[in-house]
Order: sequence, then C-alpha cells, then structure tokens
Amino acid sequence: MPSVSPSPYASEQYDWPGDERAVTRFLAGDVTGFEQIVRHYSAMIFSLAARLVGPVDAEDIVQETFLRAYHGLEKFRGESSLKTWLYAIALNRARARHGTLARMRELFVTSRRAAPGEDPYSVIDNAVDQTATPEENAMTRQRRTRLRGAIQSLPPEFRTAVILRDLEGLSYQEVAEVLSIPIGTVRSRIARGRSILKEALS
Amino acid sequence: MSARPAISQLLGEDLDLLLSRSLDGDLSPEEEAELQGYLATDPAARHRSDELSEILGALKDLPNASTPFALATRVNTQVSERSSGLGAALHRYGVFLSPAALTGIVVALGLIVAVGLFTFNPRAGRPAAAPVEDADAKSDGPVTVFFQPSANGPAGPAARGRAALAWSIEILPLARMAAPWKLATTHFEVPVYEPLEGTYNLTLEPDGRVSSVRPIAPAEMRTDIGLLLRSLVFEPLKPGAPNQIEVRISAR
Repeated sequence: MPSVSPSPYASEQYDWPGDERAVTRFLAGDVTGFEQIVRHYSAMIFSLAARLVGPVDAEDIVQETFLRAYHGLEKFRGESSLKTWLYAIALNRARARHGTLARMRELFVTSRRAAPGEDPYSVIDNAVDQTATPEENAMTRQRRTRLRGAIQSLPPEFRTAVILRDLEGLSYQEVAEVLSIPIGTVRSRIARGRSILKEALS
Repeated sequence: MSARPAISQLLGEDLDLLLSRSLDGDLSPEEEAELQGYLATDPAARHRSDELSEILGALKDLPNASTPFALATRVNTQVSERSSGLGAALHRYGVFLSPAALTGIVVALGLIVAVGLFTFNPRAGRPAAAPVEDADAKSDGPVTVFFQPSANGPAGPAARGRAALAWSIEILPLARMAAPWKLATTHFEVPVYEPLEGTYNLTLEPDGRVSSVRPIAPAEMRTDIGLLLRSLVFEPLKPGAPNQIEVRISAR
C-alpha cells in the first residue's frame, strides 16, 4: 500500500484522468491517483453527507469515507462506478454514526456537533435573496424548514432514496447501485417518499 | 402498457408511481403519451401530478451547505496520517481512533512497560545519556504547497476566482538548528505576495503560528494580489521557543 504524502493545499485546477486511470495509478503505487480521486469526489461526498447528517458533521463523514476507500480500493472491482461506490461508503458511515459503535467511538474521536436545538441549516436557509421582499424571504425560509423537517421524518429507506435522487441528482441506476437494490425498488421508494412528502406538506 | 391495467383503473400508489416516473422521464414515449392522455381527462389526477411536480421543484431548490475550503487537502492529509503505522493497522479492522487518542494509548502502554521494567529490573532508573544532536541534519526535501488568492489581500475582491498556484517549498537545513523541521499539518495564515520565488526566513512561534515571513536573498515581490500561505506548518522538534527556519520557494 503506497503511503500518501499529500499536497498540503488543494489547487482548484487539476486534471481529472477518469476513474479507471486514477484507480490504476493508485494501485500501481502512485499516490497522486488517490489524491485525484479525493479532489474529484470530495465535494460530492460532502454534499451527500451534509444531507444525511447535517453540515456540521459532514466533513467527518467525508474523512471516514475516503479513509475506508483508501484501504478498500484494492478490492474495488468496478462492478459499480467509483462514484456510487464512494456514495455507498458515505451512506454506511452516516448510518454507522448513529449506531452503538459510533457512540463508543465518540469517546475517542473529536467531532464537531451542532449544539442541542441548533438548526445546522439555519445559516443556509436564512440566506437573503436580494431580489425578494422580506416577506418572500421569510416564506422561503419557512418553506425550506418545513421541507427539511419533512425529509427528516421520512422512513429511512424512502428518505435515502429521495436524497440520492432528488437532492443529489443520481439516476435511478446509480441509486440502485448505491443502495444495492433493484431499479424497480428504487422507483417505488422514490415515488413513495415523494408522496409522503406531499402529504406532509399539504 | 397494454399488458398492464388501464391507467384509468389505477389508483393511489400505482398512479403515484407512474407520475413519479413521468416526472423523472422514466416512461417510454408510448407510456408517457398514454399517461398524459389520462391526465387530460382526470382533473384529480392532474392535480396530483402538479402537486408532485411542485414537491420535486422544492426539493431541487433546497440549498445545501457549501463545500468547506480546502476540504480535499485536509482529507488527503488525514488519509496520509492514518494510512501508516499502528493507525493504519487498526483502521483495517474498523477501529478508528484520532491521532490524539492513539498517542494517548501508546503513551499509556509505554508507561505501563516502563513501570514494569523499573519494578522488575534493578538496573532501570539510571539516567539515560543525553542524546547526541546531529548538526548535519538534512532537509526534508521539496514539498509542494498550493497558494490560494485571498480576497483579503491587496487586490481585494479582484483576487476571487483566481486559480490557485502550485509552488514547491524546500525546507533548508540551518546550521544553528540541531535537528530538521518536520512538516506537520496545523494551519496558519501569513500574507505573502505573488510571485513567491526566493528564500524566506519564517519565524515560527511555539504555538505553531508563523509570526513573520521575511524575504532574504533576491526575491521578486509583485503585489497585484495577496496570497495566504495556508496549511503549511513546521512542527518544531524543539518546542518551547520561537524558531527560525528558512524555506526556498520556487515555481513548480
């Protein structure tokens, strides 16, 4: 396993060689392959993690995801895309966060947690649209808060499907790969999740 | 569609499934045409379709947190730290401990071993010889650092959007230092100006802050934008007092 000596500061400009070349490069012992994978996918994984556990803890999930990916990449066989493989790891890390092992791990790992009662999305949702009136901005805030609450209240299997499809923009096929379920199940979970949201918000 | 019940006979969840798939463009052209034909004749179903479409629009408009600055850098740094030694071995088995926790455990184990040796080894406890300092320590070699234009620099907001620049920093050995500096991962910010080529003297405070950056030897200092030197910290092997190090920065 090659050791990683990362560039301390990530450039916004880099050449993405594609999944296959980056993985091949890494497995051949070139650490830049993995660095490129991190640079290419870290924002996507952060976005998913923020949807799943909130923005405060999302970076921890990203760290854990890529750490697991680093040790598991040699077993990656390419049956799914690298993107969905990473998404699946991130999803598992987010789920594990609420498990018993996670509670034990918290004794050792420093984690930035939102204070009880604090809405981690308050800053995002309170962002003001300069073109809207104060009343419109207030209604937008309220609508977003209700929608987030409704998403959080969805049963886990529907919530994950809705987040992956409607918030993260994955295709049905990609959602199926991430969740390791048939496409038909993906379709029905997404439809059911949306219906429940509609009922909750009406 | 002909093998399935007519849409007009579908109620509840099956209709919602069709509407959901329609919104995602997942129906065939024939299925879509049949569904639209049905919706044209059933106002309640049309209303349900409109509501689902509205939900979908609201979901797509829901903002998310922005990606933190230099996230990829921190991730790569963490992977590097945790991908070697005991930490890596534990990680393989799903035991993730922070470097601090790992250090604490190692120290605790070391103390236990030391106490055991002291208790059972009558020769333990004699003061160890002072370590010999190596005055000819070599530098750690070139390290690549990327600098990000800062809106707080002289060019102000004009610096936003400028691409980060890659520079190589070579950590030079200093005769007055007994041991070389070791690249660590704490963060600091010191304003430096483009271009950065040249030799600089950095004053590193005990808490890891770089309190000054002074160019020595010929160095061109154009100031069209301000750059923040980030994520480059040197962990002193002799902490407790300010330390001077020299770095040579050259374009990559």
